[in-house]
Amino acid sequence: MSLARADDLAAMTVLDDHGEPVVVGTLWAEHPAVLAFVRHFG
Amino acid sequence: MQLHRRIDDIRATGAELTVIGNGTPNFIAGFRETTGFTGTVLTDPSLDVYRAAELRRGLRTFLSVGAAMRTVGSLSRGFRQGRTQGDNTQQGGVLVIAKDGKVLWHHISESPGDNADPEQIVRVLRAASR
Repeated sequence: MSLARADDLAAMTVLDDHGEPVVVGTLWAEHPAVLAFVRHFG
Repeated sequence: MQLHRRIDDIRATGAELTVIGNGTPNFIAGFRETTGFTGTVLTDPSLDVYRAAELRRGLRTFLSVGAAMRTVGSLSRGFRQGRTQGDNTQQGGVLVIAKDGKVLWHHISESPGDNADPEQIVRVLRAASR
């Protein structure tokens, strides 16, 4: 199965390294985005 | 993470690479130190975005012959897993998304070591940028 659109992700939020929310949709608002989801940080 | 080694090729297409993990925000600094990645790193401790991206999670994802073989391969190359910073049963993946929200490419890791091919990602971005 593969997503055709990222609309469901666009309104969601993740956190930056200060714990501040970042709206996921902003990541591709200005340019194409490659989102690399890692298993864990270490 | 191999994809960050292609950061220049990715940026040459006008795209930007963002890494998303699932530990607490304080783990991000250690990730940067370990990988040398200086781009945007974010985290999704709730795993909501991982679920929305249809990424796999659970014990079954790393109890497979393929996963075992990749683990042996990693160990033979000297990799040693330290204390896990995030959800150990969560698998990763890659989404390539156009400015209009269209998903250009989607890799869903089936198990540990089932990584996206950076060359494929660069190819997709180059094709989209024409």
